[in-house]
Amino acid sequence: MKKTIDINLGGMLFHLDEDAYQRVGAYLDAVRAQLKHVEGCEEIIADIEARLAELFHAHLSPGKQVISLSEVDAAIRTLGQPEDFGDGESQPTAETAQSYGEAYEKRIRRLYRDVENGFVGGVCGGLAAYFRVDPVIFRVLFLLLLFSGAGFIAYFILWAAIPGARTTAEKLAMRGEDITLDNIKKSVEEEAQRMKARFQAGAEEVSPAVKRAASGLGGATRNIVEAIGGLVAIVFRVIGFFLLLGIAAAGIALIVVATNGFSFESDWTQGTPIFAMAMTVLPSSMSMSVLWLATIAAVLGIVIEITALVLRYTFRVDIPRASWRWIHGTAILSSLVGVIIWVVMGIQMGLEFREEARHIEAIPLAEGRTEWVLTVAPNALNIPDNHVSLGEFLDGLDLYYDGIALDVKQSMRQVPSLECVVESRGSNRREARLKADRVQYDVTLEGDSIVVGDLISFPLDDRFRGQNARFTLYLPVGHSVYLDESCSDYLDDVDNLQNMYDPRMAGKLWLMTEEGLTLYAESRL
Amino acid sequence: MCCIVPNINYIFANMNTENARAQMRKGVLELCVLRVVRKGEAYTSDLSEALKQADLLVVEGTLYPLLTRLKNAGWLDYRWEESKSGPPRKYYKLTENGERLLDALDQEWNAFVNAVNSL
Repeated sequence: MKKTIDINLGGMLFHLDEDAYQRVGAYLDAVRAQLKHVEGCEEIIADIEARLAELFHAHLSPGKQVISLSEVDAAIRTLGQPEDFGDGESQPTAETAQSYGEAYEKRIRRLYRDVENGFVGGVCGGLAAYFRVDPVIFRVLFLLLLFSGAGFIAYFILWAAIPGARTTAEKLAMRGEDITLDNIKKSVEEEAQRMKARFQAGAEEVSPAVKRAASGLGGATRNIVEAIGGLVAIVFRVIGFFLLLGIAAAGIALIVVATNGFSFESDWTQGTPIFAMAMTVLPSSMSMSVLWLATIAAVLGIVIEITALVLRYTFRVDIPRASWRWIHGTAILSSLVGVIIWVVMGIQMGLEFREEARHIEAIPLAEGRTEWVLTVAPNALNIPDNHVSLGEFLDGLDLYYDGIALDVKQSMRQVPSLECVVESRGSNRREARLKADRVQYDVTLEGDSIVVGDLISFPLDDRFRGQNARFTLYLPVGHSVYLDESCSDYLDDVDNLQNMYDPRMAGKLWLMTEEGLTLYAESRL
Repeated sequence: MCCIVPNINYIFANMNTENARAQMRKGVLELCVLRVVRKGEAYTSDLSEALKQADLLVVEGTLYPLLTRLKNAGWLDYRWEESKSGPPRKYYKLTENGERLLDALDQEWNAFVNAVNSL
């Protein structure tokens, strides 16, 4: 019992023995290689296929339905060896002769688009043929991906990069040999052969000494080198496969993040941290969509390039030169546009940090008291519960930022006061001043208690331009302050006679003397 | 055809080198194809049959690129014809340009043969 394979030659259906099928494919491959630089190559191949069909047809009868190796060889004798197709203008090349011999040996499966059975471009059919699964699997996969947008991009990249299986040789290659242990061994050997040939060719160009060294390799050594070369090739193919998977995943992730990014304006709190951070520093004249478009363009270019390279070098997809140029052009242009927008944004952002300005407010404290308690409390302003926990908090169109610092100093006058200095940067002094003016902070005075909110807030449109608030408690000599534990993260460079490190000052009672602030008690009295 | 074959055979008989023979075949193949087509519309295998009988062609394969080239140059034209024994066939015929070219080539060939024979 023999397995047969159906092929379509010149529009006719033939059943071929497996070995006959291999040989026909190898033959057409070699002919194509011979004719690839001849004008009208496709037409010539079509003529040859039609003639091949006619020759096969002559052998068929009701008693003989299947074309075997002997019929194929007879047909090849009639048509001639691939070298004979030279047209007297192009001489048969060593490359052709070699590839024909090679192709006779076996036919490795290549990735082509199944243009005949495809719904759109045959990408799914081709992938299915390559991985020996039902095309429906890939079609469903792409349809699912389509909803996120990634499938659309991936499909078009693959469509552009993978050549369609148009000739019989390509169709045969598309459904080529199964991957068996034997085939892997064969492919290892062949890969090694090819590598060796390449090395030797290179050596010939470089220097005769290297050439001698290459050809002087002992049999055993050479076998090892070949085996290693083959293994490397297989490893690369596996890496390539995972790289493609990774790219697909990255693409999907990017699209998901991007689409979330676009809908972000309606719901701040659902956004990703990176998005929130980018949003807070973006140049004020630019919207988030511009940044996203730039990012997508830049990443897309890289994805296109890597995908094409992986397809070419690990899956041996024979990308036509014209497509290759198109792919390169698109990739470079896309990345370039993205990067240029990034650079412009970066420069603009930098310029918006150029000048600094401050806004000062002195809040008098109630007279008659000499003992104070300084506490930092969660901001009384409305903070959403599920905020972005990166120090910056978004709420509606306001930005919340924990940019506060606490200090204690001696008052030159006899009354205590709390001075709030708000700083901001901007593209010019006026801008900086306006941004500082718009910063809101939260101070609550009640009896001896001074409560400072842990967050300042400013309009999101102001962007983060170094806004911060410094609260300095001016105490006359003889006044004391208890620094609550909650102050520990915010005390900043507070001069004290004990030279105590800021965070440790919290939770202690301090007294203002002529010499400066001094530790009065380890706890509240 | 009748005037070429003896000449070619004469040359070949005396050269007896396969390589030179192949080179010469290649050189005159274009002329031969055009001459066969002048006799009437021809299908590729008709052409190859005629040329093989005249010992001017070894394998069919050589013809396909040549025919496409001649067609693209505007010297040959073809029409499709359904076939019972396979896919539709291309039947080639000479165009007006082709006829003129062939006349010129015939003259060239005769001059060439005379020149060679006169040595």
